[in-house]
Amino acid sequence: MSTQINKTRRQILGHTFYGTAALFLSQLLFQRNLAMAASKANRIIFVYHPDGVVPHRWHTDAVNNLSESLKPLSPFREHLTLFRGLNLHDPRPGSHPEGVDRLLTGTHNASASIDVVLAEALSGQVLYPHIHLGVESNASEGRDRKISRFHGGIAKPAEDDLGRSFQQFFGQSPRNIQDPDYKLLKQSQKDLESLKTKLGSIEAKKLDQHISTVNAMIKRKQGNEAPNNPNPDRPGLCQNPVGPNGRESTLAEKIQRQMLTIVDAMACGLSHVATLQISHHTSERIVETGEGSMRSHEASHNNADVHTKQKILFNQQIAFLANQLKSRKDPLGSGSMLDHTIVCVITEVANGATHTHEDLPFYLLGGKGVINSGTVIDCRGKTTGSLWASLATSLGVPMNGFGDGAGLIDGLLV
Amino acid sequence: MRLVRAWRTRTPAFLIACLVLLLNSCLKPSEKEPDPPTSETPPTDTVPLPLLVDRGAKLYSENCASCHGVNGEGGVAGQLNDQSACLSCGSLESLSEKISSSMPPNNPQICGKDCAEAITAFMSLEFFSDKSRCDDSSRDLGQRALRMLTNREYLHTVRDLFQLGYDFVPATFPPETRVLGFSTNHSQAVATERKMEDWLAAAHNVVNTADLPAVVACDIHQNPRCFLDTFALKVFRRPLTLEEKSAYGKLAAEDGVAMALKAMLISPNFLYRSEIGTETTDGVYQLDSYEVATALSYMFLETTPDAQLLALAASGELLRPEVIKSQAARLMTLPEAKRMTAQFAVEWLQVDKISQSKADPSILSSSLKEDMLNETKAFFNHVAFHEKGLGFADLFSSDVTMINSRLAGYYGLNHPGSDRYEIISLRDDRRGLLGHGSVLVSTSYPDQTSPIRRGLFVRDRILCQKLPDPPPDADVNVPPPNPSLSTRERFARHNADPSCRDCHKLIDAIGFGMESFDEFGRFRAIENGKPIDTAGVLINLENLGANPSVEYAFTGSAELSHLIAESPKAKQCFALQFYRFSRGVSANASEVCGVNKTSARFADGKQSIQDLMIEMTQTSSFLFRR
Repeated sequence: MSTQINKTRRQILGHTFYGTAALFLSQLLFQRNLAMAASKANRIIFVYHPDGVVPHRWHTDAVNNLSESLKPLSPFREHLTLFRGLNLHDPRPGSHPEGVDRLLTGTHNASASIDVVLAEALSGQVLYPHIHLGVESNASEGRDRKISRFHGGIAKPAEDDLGRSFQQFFGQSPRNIQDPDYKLLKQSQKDLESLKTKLGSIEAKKLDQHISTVNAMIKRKQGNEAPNNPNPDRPGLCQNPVGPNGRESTLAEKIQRQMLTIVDAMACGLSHVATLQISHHTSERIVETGEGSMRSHEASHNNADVHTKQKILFNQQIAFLANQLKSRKDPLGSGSMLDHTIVCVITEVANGATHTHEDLPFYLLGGKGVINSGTVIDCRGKTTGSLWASLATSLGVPMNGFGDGAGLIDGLLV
Repeated sequence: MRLVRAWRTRTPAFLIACLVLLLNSCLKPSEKEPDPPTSETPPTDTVPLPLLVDRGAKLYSENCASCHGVNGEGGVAGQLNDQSACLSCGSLESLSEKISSSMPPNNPQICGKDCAEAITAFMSLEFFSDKSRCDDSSRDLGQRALRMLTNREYLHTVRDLFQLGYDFVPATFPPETRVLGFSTNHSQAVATERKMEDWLAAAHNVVNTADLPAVVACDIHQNPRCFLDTFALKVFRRPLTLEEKSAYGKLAAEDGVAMALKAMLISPNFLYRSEIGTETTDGVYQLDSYEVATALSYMFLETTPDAQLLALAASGELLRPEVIKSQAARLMTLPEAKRMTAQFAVEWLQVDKISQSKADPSILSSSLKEDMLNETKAFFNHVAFHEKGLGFADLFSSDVTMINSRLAGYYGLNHPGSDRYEIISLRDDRRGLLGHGSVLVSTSYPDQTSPIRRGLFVRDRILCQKLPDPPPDADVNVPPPNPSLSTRERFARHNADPSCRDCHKLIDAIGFGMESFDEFGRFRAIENGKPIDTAGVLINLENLGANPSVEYAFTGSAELSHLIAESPKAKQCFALQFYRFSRGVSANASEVCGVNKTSARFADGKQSIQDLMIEMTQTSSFLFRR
């Protein structure tokens, strides 16, 4: 028995009219958004920090009046875009794991996160579609839900090892299709495709991801050149980057090391999308804020002063990242890398003490001429999915919604 | 009608509701009240049961599955597919009320009474009804799958295939994402670039290190088929297809056997264990004999099939259940089986967390932590492989353990004085696994014990009863150590606060009974100058949601261990945990039912651990897939 619909003809016609009008209007808005995003940002870096913030010591209504938590970003006021009224899928309080699950996917359904989707969309232009690094992000079994997700919601672990992170971009053997690895990967690719044909939809997501991984590695062996790499034989030598010294021990030192690797790789045109996951939700990592240092999650519930100090420390690292980007010329355009990069800073809950999912303490840096910066955007209850769609559009990947978020964030794109 | 039967046995009120629903479904549309203009879906009392269940399935999928698992197997939130493991599932009314009043936690208003009844109907039929779950044996089959080799499986496989020593390490792989505590769960195992780079590096390392002429034992130039028909078969764990023979034969001829082997080691045919099978009847697939050989070998030995298994696979004999059983029994006699059982114990109890413990190293050194972990492995194997047939109960009630002299000194026990792990008699309150330092330290904070962690450990790992997370606005602060109060006194507010009490009475009261062991795993009779009170209560041991509740009072860890040792629920849980570990799945409701059926004799105390593990190969879900 199907669901009964007791509606009059007039009601049905009325609904049809409004539906058509809404569709037309939404298309118009979408076209306008596309036109507005004619100039686009070149790259995006997502930076995650755990366990939310102390809202009344974070939020502000003007970039000229930054809160104590945001003070380290003062030198970058004109590059800064703050948000109010931005919600996470559903604004009611939830748990840390729920927040992580929905953070970059914009939905509670098992699906790919925006960084992975953007990496795929922009993969044709680069050798490394997604730079995905972490700082102790895999440190605690059971609390290591990943913010980044493959299709099907499969967790995408970040590379925490500082040396490995650097080596994957700057320690590769010369790119050469005579390299034995090229032949090995080609055979693996053949086997994967054969298996995929045989299995059809069975384990398709697993095999698709495997194929995508092998394809990316093959592509790098084929010698497709990065846009500004002066040395065609070795990727990433354009800036002669210096790797980790092995003495990085504090959280800040490790974060800065991973940030340098990201900036160096992006400066060489190796990738347009990066994600840096700092620790993980309900983190038991002690954040070194001097006297009274505490574990992140413990501070979020027990001590607003220490938690605020921790957030100041995280924002100091973001300022470090911004400085690095600002000090380098953009490889794809005029101005600094910061001008053409969007740094998006996120966390999985708003209020760390009460696990609220509304009025999220996200912010952007950079995206000159594309993102409306130097301001506070009122999102009026829109959800992260709309933010991800807006950022995708700003990168030349037009979307009119992402996850469960419909439409874009009004006033965000220039 | 199955739903009606299930409801009738549980609650008369719902029987009436079902009858109303059925009567309503027979009414002509014109006799019904029109839908309210604002409602998009009709209320439950206008919907026939099958449609109600369908609606419930959709609502469950949209609102519940992301936390409780698609099949109710649990995840962020508790397991729902076992009624005895679900706090709110004691009756269908209480479940429906719970859903409509507080689910999903972040937006309970979106699921009102009708929605809750539909979900309850779905859960009743799909998760709780023994008839639907257990009578149809085709339903307790797992999904066809490709199972990526775990790090341990990869390591053992290449060592065995290429005759490399036990100290050979081909690469440093990143740790697996564990699901429900198990590294073997293949749902989250994907080939990232890091993983692929590691596999590539490992392939070079393995092939360059091995003595290839001795290992391959074929002259590729004189007899190229020898390599493809023998060693290549071992690598892929099945005969190569013609296409594969052509490709790898060409590679071997042009670039050498080493190159062909490296390519094979990064092929999906090596990196994944196939559990795909061949279709037999509608939607049911039977594993082929090589897939069975592989499944058996990795299940018991964590490595590639040996010559005997491959020979039986080639003959087709391995598809016969009695042959499968005799091979399982054979594999359990091999030394490698003990490393599998030890690893199962570690992951089941999650005691490898001890290595992350930040407890004061001047008291608990890294050597002692390693000793404690080894104690658990050795003791588990002592019980599992005991000649006189020790059983599950001994895991908890045993008055001996297996330790070296260093750990014996730490525990205050006598030891002959060597590095060997010897059988040593226990004293005080220390009995079985709950008295192991690995368990006690892993379930403590660095500076204090945690009745909550210890209680949750018993609920989750030993009884498979996952309790819900605290509500979002709950004060989850741990009371800081206080030199004038005992741990029990510091946690007293959980019992005083009604909002905490409902859940914490199920948790803390277990942990209090284990208070005679401190955060370092040492016995203590006094804490902060006060005698330790080890009175505890284990509420609803067999059925978490039982109403009225059933309370088991006990004093001390030894009595708690005895309760667990005799509990059918604990035995059933043990079987389920082993199923999850060995099959690499979370287990859907039908699989849970299948495990319960298979482990019935074990739960009655009539079967040893070894026999249970072997018996697991006799389920239809071992040989068949959907």
